[in-house]
Amino acid sequence: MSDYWLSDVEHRVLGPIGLEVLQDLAEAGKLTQIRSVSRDGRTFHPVDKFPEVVAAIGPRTPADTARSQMDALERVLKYLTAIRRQSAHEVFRVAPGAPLDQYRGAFFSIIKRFYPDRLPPETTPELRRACQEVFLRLAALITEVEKSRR
Amino acid sequence: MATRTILIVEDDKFARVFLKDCLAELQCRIEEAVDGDDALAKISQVIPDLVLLDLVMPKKSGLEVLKAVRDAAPTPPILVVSSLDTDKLIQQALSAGANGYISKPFAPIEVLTAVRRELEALK
Repeated sequence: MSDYWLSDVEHRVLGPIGLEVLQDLAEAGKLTQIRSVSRDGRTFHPVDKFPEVVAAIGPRTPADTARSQMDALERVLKYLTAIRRQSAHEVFRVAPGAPLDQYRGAFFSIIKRFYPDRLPPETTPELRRACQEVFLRLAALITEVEKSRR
Repeated sequence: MATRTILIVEDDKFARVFLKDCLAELQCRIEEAVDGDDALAKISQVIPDLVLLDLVMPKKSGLEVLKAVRDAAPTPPILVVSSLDTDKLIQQALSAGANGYISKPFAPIEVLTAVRRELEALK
């Protein structure tokens, strides 16, 4: 039965979903930032009021995320500087004439780390901006490759 | 042919701009909604030819928007665009009436191809 609504720190809502879907998402590592839960989509309560949800999503460690923000920013900025100087095949680490599928495969595997929707809500504005810049550069490169193959 | 209207329902500004850029060459009219309530308000005024729908949004979730739109008539094609791409959630969205599911992150051509396919089917 679909009867849980989940809300994150930015008050973004997902639901209604059943416990099975919720567990599936949690196992895939996609539900780490849940802050409150509702059974009717209107009234939300802290996650710990729902032991079955806590059991499904597992322990949360926002402090760990916060501690790593500065390190992450430094790494992302360094990567951004590098890819701004490189061409598509260098960035995606494929041969210049490689099939488009290879470029796309590489694009998807890299982009997952930078896509704004995948960043934790606690991400600092600086780190978010840097990830967006990386994303835009990678998107521009794959668009360029796609256009050249049409 | 009359200009088609596409409604992008997405709370993240960056993602909205990126989706818009992906669709630029279609020369459609692009409308934007920033949350679930905004989406339903816009759809109640003018029914778009296609909706691109995020699932996690403030005020009303994408699944609630999907249900509300499908309960009304006429009802436009809806492509869900989400990073929550587990099999069970995709299945739930498709069962609830989504015409397709685009996983984030996506390549521009993926969005373009899916949107083109839906718009062609309207002819």
